[in-house]
Amino acid sequence: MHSYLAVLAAGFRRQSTYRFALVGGLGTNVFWGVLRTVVFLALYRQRGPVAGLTVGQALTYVWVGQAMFGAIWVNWLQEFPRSVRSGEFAVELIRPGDPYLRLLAFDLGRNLNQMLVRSTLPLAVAALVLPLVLPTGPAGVLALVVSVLLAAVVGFQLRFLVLGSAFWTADYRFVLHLVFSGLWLASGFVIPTDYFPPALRAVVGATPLHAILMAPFQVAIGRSVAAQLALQAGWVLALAAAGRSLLALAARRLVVHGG
Amino acid sequence: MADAAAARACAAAARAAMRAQVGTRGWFALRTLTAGFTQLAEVAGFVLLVDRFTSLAGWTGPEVALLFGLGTAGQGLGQALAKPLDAGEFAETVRRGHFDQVLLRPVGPLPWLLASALDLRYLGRVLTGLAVLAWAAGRAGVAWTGPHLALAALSITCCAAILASVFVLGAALTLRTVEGTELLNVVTFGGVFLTSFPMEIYGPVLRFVFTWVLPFALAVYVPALALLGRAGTAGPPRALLLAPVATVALAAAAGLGWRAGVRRYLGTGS
Repeated sequence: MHSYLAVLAAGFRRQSTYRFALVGGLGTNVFWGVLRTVVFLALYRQRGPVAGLTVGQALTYVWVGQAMFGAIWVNWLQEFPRSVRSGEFAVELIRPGDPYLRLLAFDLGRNLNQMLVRSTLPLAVAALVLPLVLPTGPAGVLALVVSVLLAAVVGFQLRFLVLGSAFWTADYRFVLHLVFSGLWLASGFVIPTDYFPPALRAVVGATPLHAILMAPFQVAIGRSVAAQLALQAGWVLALAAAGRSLLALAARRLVVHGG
Repeated sequence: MADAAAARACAAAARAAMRAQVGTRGWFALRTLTAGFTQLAEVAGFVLLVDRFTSLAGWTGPEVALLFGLGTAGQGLGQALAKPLDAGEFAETVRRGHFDQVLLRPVGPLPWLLASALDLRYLGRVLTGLAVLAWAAGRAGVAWTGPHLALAALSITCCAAILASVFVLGAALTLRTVEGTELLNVVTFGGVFLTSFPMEIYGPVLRFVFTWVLPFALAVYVPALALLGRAGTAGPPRALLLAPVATVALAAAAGLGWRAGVRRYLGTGS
């Protein structure tokens, strides 16, 4: 446990070298947030709740979404498949301990550093100027923090499964292009899944994609908080099993590659 | 004479770049197809959203999709032509000293850079945009008369040229700063995303900047109004000829900016 925490801390420090990129990412993020805010304000002009969401809740979705964007579709997305392709990844397999947990700890460490500014700052500023619906009590805030962390873990796990295709094809980018748009829409990064037709909403709600954005959003607006957290935790366990199986399969494959 | 030789060299570089991409036909077709998937997901999402609310500032889902279609096609064309000048990519070219090599060639650095990295896969994004445009026009009852087709072509071309000009300006800036920044995405892809919604919803500052400084609204929104036969309540003037004029002006400014950037370029010492 101690060593994984050390790896997590190393990941945290590693990410602090990208300050310039952080500012650029932050600016872009805020701009897109402003545009989405304008769209929702125009849609809700002189209207009550639509699909069960009030204007305040829709705006909360926008800024929780902007906060989660960088944490899920991380800047260093391509580092893992690139290391697989170059063969550097083999080193991970001979290091002591569990490679899956170590990768997760390092990724989470980097993510924590990035989220500290990139996720919290826009959300906090938006909360000051817009009528966002956010938890006010300590229990609600704690639940939101836990939900965001679980979402970051599920984000890593999903990236690992999709980009793990690099073990089998050098053209992992094609796989990413092929599935990204589906993941992007189904996880609710374009619009909240609440506005989907009910059948479609039920389908995407039953996938782990629900855990990366829609679950933290539901927790933020205080809807079935405990159930959402339990669902996210369930997906973390299920995806860990899937990720470990993939790694076990790939480890055999990688030996062939390197030999 | 020298100009003709330079033009031939650039044409040869462009042909070589295209051949290299089309080489593996199956992969090329698949990659081209997927190049517009993300835009398709966005259009699908926003059409669902607007439908749920019946309209956005008086625009129906298909009418908003028409804006998306024009913008996506323009963006794809602009990226196919000027992708190597995209902030992140050009910063890498400069940092590694590859730009110094380009300067050594007896051709203009800008035509050479653009020609040797022509990226045909982005034409998939153009096709996606055109498909969305065709669907949206059908739903919104736009008749494809000759003038309407010409208008759509003008809109897409201007949008692409504006995007390419901003890429050139960004690259000129990168020649000074060496570090590219994601912030440039705000004025390129951000501009395209912004004009994918009717201009009526924005405040005066955004409307002014994206009409008169980065004329995306003149290129996309104004022609869309004419195609749909709408009167833009609070939009920019409907004079359609303003789009090409503003586009040429921006392109000229980008050319001057690029020249200034190259003249003052000091190299990265590598």
